[in-house]
Amino acid sequence: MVSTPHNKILHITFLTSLSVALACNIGNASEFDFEGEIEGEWRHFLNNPSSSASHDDFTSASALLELGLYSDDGAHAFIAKPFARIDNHDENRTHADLREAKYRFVEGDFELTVGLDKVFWGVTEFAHIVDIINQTDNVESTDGEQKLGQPMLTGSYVSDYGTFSAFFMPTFRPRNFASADGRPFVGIAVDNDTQTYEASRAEDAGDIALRYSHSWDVIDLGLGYFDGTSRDPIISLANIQDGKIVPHYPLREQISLDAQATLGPWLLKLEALHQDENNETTDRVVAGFEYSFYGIFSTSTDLGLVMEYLWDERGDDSPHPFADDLGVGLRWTANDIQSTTLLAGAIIDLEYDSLAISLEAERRLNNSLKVSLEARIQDQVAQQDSLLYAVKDEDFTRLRLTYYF
Amino acid sequence: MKLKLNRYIVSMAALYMAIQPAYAAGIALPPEDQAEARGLAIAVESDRRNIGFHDTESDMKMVLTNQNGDESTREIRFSTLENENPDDGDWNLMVFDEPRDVAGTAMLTYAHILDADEQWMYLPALKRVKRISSVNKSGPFMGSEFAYEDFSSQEVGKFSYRWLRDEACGDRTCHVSERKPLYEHSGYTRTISWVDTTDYQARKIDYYDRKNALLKTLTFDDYKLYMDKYWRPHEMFMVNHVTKKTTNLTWTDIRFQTGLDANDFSKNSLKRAR
Repeated sequence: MVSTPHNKILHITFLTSLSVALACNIGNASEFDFEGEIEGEWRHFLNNPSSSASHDDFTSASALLELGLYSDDGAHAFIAKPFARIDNHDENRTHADLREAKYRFVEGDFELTVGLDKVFWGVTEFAHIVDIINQTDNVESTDGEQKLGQPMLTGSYVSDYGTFSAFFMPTFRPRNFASADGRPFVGIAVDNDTQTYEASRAEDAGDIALRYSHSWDVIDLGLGYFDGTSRDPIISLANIQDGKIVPHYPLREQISLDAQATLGPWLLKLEALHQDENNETTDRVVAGFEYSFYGIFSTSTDLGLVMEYLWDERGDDSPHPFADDLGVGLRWTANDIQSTTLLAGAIIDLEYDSLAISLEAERRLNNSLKVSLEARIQDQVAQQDSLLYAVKDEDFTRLRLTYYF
Repeated sequence: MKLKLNRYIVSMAALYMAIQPAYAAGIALPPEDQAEARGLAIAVESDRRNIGFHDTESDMKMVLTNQNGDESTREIRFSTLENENPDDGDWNLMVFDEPRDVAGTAMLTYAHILDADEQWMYLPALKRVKRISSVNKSGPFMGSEFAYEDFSSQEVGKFSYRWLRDEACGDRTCHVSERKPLYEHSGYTRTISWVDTTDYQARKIDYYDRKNALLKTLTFDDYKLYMDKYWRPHEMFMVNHVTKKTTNLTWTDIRFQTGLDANDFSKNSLKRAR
C-alpha cells in the first residue's frame, strides 16, 4: 500500500506496537465484535473513453470488515477495519487498505489512540476544506469522501472548556489515481509509485496537527492547526516521467476554523482556512446554510435545501476546481421503513457557468441489503475551467448493492 | 408567554415537591374541581417517583408492522443520564444495531424543557459528528409510528395539564388527564393519558393530531420494579388509527446505575459509540 521502504518500516513499527498493546489487554478483554459489508458495483460511463485502452463499463466488488475487541470496563479497545476492492479493468482500483487498525485507551477525560485511524473535521457539505488528517482514497470516490487509513498517535482531553486533541502522523500516504485503463481519466495517467516531496526524507520526521472543539448552546466550533506535507498533490504536465505525471507534495502549514449555528430548522455553516504552501499564503472559505422543511405537503417526508459558496483566493490558479462556485442541493427524505432518500446537487461556477451535477438515491431492500444509485454529470463546461474541463466527458452512473452483516 | 407559563409550572412543581414529604403515606391531590392543579400534581407525582435513578442502560427492539402484516425490525441501545437540575432535561445516547446498514450510527441528545434540544448524530462511515436540528419533533422515528417527541424525555414542564376523571384501567384505577404540549413544533394538539392511582405509571396515551383528530394510541405493558423504586415498562405498543400501522417496542436488559457519567455523553464519546 505504501511505496517507500521508509514508510514500510514505520508501518511495521506501528503494527508491532499494536500487537503488543493487544497482547497486553487481551487478558481482560470481554467482548469481540465482527461485522462488515460486501458490495457489488456497476459503473457506466456515458461518453466514449478518451484513452483507447479504456472502457465504458466497469464491474467491481468490495468488502469492508470491522473487528473489535473491547475490555470489560470499556477502557481498552482494539479495532481493525480492513478494506479491499477488485475492479475488472482498473488495476489501480483493485486495491486494499487498512482503514483503521488501532488501539484505544480511555481513562476519564483522556483518550489515547495509536495506529491507523480516520479523523474527520468540518461542517459543510459541498467541500471539506478543513479536513486534513487523512489522504483521499481517490479511486474510491470522486467527491473525496473516502479516505485512506492514516498512521497516527492521538491524544485527546475533554474538559468543560472544550475538547483538545493533538495528532502526530509519522508517515505520509500519497493519493492514489486511476490507471490508464480506469476512469474517470483525464488523458494522462498519474504515477502511483513515484512521488516528489518538498520535504527531504530526513526532515520529514512526521506531520503534526492540533484540534480544539466545543459547543456553546446553538454554536458548535472547531479550530485546527496542521504542519506537514500537504495531502493535495501538485499535478503538473511539466512533471512527466515514463509517460506518467509524477505528483509533487509540497509542505503546508494551515490554520482552520469550522463553525455551525443550529437555529431551529436553519443550520448556518462556515469553514475557513489560511494556508502557507510553496511560499504562498492562501485563504479559502466555504460558507452557507441548510434549511429543512419537515412534513412537507402534509406527508411525513422532509425536504432539505443546502446552499454553499466555495471560494479560493487563487481563483483560476487554484488546484481545486471550485474556487468561485455556488453549491445548491436538495435532499428529500421519505422517512419510510426503507429510509428512502434522494439527493440532487449542482456546483455552479460563477465565472464560467460550468455545472458539476450529482444525483444520488438510496433505499433499503431488507434488514441487511441496500441499493444505491448515483450519477455524476458535467455540463456546459468552459475551457477556461480547466480542471473540470479535463473530466467533462467522464459523466457516469453507478449502481451499488450492499449486503451488511 | 410560554416561558412565563413554564416558570409558573416549574415553581408550582417545586412547591408541590417541597410539601410532598408531609403526605408521605398517601398522595394528597388537589380536589377534583381544581382540574389543572390536580392534573399537574399527578404529573409531578409520576416524575417524583423517577427522581434519583441517576443513569440507566437498556436494549430496545422495535417491530414495525404495516397494513399487510409485513414486519421490519430495529434494534437500538439506550443510555440515559439523569439531569439533577429539575429545570433541565436528561441526557440520552442511542446507538443503532439494526437495520444493519445504519449499525454504529449514534444520536446524542441534551433535552431541555422548552428550549430546543441539542442533538448530534454520529455517522460511522464518514466518522463525522453532525449537529442536527431538533425541530423535527413530529417526524417518524426510524420509519416507525413513534414520533421523535414520543421518545424524548417527558419532563413535567413540557406540558400543561388538566385532570378529566378517574376510571378503571385493566385491573387498576387510573387518573385520566389531558396534556397539551407547551414546546414548539409538536405534532399534537393534545394527548390523553391514563396514569394508575397506585404507582403513578402511564398505562395508555391517546394522541390527537394537529386537527385534533385521534391519531394514535400507545399502551404500556409488563412493568417491572427496579431497585425497589423505579418502574419500567418492557412492552410499548403504538397503533396508528389512520394508517393501521403498528409499532411494538420490547425493552430488555434494563440496568440502573452502571457507572455512567458526563464523559459518556460527550460529542467526543459519541465517536466511540458502538
